Amino acid sequence: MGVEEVKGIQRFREIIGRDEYSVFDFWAEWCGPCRIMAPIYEKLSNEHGAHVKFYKVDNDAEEDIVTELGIRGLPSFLLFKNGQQVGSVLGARPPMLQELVAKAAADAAAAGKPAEAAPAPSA
Amino acid sequence: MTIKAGESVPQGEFAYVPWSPELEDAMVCGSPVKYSTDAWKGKKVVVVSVVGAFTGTCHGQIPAYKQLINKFKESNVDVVAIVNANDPFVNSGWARVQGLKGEIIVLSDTASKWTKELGLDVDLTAVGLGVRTGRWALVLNDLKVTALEVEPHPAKVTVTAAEEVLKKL
Repeated sequence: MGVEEVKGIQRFREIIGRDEYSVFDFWAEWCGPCRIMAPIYEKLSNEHGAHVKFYKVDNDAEEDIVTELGIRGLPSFLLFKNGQQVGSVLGARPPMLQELVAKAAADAAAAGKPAEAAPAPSA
Repeated sequence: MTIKAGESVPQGEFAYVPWSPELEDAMVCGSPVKYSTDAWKGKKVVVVSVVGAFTGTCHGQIPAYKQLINKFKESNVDVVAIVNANDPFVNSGWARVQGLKGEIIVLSDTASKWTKELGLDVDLTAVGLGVRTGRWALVLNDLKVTALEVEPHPAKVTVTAAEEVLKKL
């Protein structure tokens, strides 16, 4: 599904405010563990992109975002929904990231099922 | 020119890498955040300046502060901060080597800028260290200096030892 680069705090706030799961990879050029995680993150975006939106934020270019969130270590993976941070993983920990994303995707998939038993709304 | 007891410290901004347990392995890169002296408003703070991470007087001064941290807390000290001119990445490593886990924070006054404003910087170019923050200890109450101890010789720890500064609280 691909990973979109986020630029600017307005854009960031707009994305996290949506009623859907969005995950953000905070990375930096100088960060070795970030490079380790990049292909893994990309792969997860292909696997779960239908239910979780994948983004990345360049720590050095987006000071406003990074300061607001208090990012203290890289890579940081933050999960948001409806304007709330609902999960995070600090560091290059593939199994933990995998779990974070898979749970969100499963939750989104379950919620997305049509409510078959609900009666049709009356006109 | 040098700050005195009763005066308020000028506003300063430092860089530091906050400690987190995840930093203990090599799978995270600490990312510096900004830290302002504004965080000390209304608080009792002990600021200890050291010449440099891993420099001489090696492991001579900080361990006592770590050991006595509870005594500082008992005297209502809200923050114990170490200040030096090293960059925040070096300081993060140095703090972890000493087993500091956030109970004492290490702040980078990278160009000794704030320290210069206090009139406490020292030029150690002759010994290959450049301009540094020196070795001193400040006790602050709501940003006002209640005690200042400056080591007569930056390579020695006497009046800035943890046990001595405790007496000034």
